[in-house]
Amino acid sequence: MIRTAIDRDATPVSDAAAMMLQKWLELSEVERRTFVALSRELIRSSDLVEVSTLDLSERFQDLAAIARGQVGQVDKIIGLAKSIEVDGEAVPIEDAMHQVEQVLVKVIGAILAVSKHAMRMVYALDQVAGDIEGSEQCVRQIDAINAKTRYLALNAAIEASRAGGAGGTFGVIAREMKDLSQEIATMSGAVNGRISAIRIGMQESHSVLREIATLDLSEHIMAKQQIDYLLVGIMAQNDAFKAALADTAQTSGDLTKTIGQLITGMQFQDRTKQHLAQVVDVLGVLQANTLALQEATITAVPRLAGASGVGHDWVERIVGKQTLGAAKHRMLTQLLSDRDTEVDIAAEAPAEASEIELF
Amino acid sequence: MKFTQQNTPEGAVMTLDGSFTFNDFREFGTMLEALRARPSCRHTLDLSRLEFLDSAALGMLLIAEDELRSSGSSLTLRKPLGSIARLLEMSAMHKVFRIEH
Repeated sequence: MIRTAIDRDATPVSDAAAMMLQKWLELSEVERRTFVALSRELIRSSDLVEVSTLDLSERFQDLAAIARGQVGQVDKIIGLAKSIEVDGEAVPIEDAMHQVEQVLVKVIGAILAVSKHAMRMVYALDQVAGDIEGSEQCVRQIDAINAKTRYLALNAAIEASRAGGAGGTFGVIAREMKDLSQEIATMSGAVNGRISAIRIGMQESHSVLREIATLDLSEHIMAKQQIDYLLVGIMAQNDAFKAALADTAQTSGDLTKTIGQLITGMQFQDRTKQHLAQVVDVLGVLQANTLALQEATITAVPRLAGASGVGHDWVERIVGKQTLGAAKHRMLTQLLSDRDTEVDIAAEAPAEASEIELF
Repeated sequence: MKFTQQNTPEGAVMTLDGSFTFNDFREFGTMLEALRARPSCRHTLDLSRLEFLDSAALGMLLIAEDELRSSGSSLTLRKPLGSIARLLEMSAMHKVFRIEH
């Protein structure tokens, strides 16, 4: 074919040179199509990076919002850990513990006051019991004196009777003394009865008071020690809880900050896209230059027209090292058909598949 | 409880031995009367041998402090140990008495 077209050449070219030019034209066509394929791959990659970066950025934004929310929640928990609600009012835990302590102190003060007053009453009743005993002794002495008085009255009555008419007046006095002694005895009996009633009442009161006073409340006082230990333990646990929450808040804050830095770091995508666009522009220039040189060569050597197909050797060398299936498929389509697979990839698939089998 | 008394120029030192409870109120009252008979003194209750103290005994101690203070004397609690020391501490007795450890 080349030999038959020699006469149409504008400039005489030897067969050997024409064959070499044909090889150069095949290589340039392969390179031109490769430039086109590479440009499209770079644009696809740039788009993929852009879409993926935007997706990642949105996810990081969501993550940052969640982290900020977490910081807020931890702050809220820290606030809750600092106080408790009492009758609808927030009371700092330290104040609540102090109030419990004050209540305990008052309770113990009341126990001590009760013990002290109970013992005062015990001593007072003991004193009254002694006084009652003294009163009973006085009554007994009165009874003894009265017995002697009655005896004297009886003797006086006897002597008055012996004296006859002269003892009449003395006899009247003796009867009066007897009546008086009888009244004293009656009164002494009444006093004695009342004193006995008071003694019984006193003994009952003393018995009740003894029961109260012997009710040992020292264990209740010592309960304060256990409650003190509990309060100290609760405070220590609360402090540890707050410290752990503060660490968590710090970690969440650091996480939010790091995510912010990551989002800022995502801006590399803009620079990458600009760089890739420049490479695509260069590849476009190279493709145009190659095409212009092909046309100029064919103009100079017309017999080479239609001889600028692609050599499978060149294609195999380019595609052979590609490992990504889709990219390899697109490269093959471009090199063999000079078009992008995305135009009609379904229709070209069988032919492409056979070509892939070829390599 | 067993009381022992030692007199010094400053005042009496009463040593309480065993358990001090309600049942000791008469003996303690008698001892208190003896201390009141010496006004303006610095009396001491040695608690180092005391093993138990009930709330009635705490009441008696407070009465003793009242009575002795009204007679111009003072009452010091000396060397409370173990549970006695803890009970006095929980009762805030240090606000009422001078306590020597």
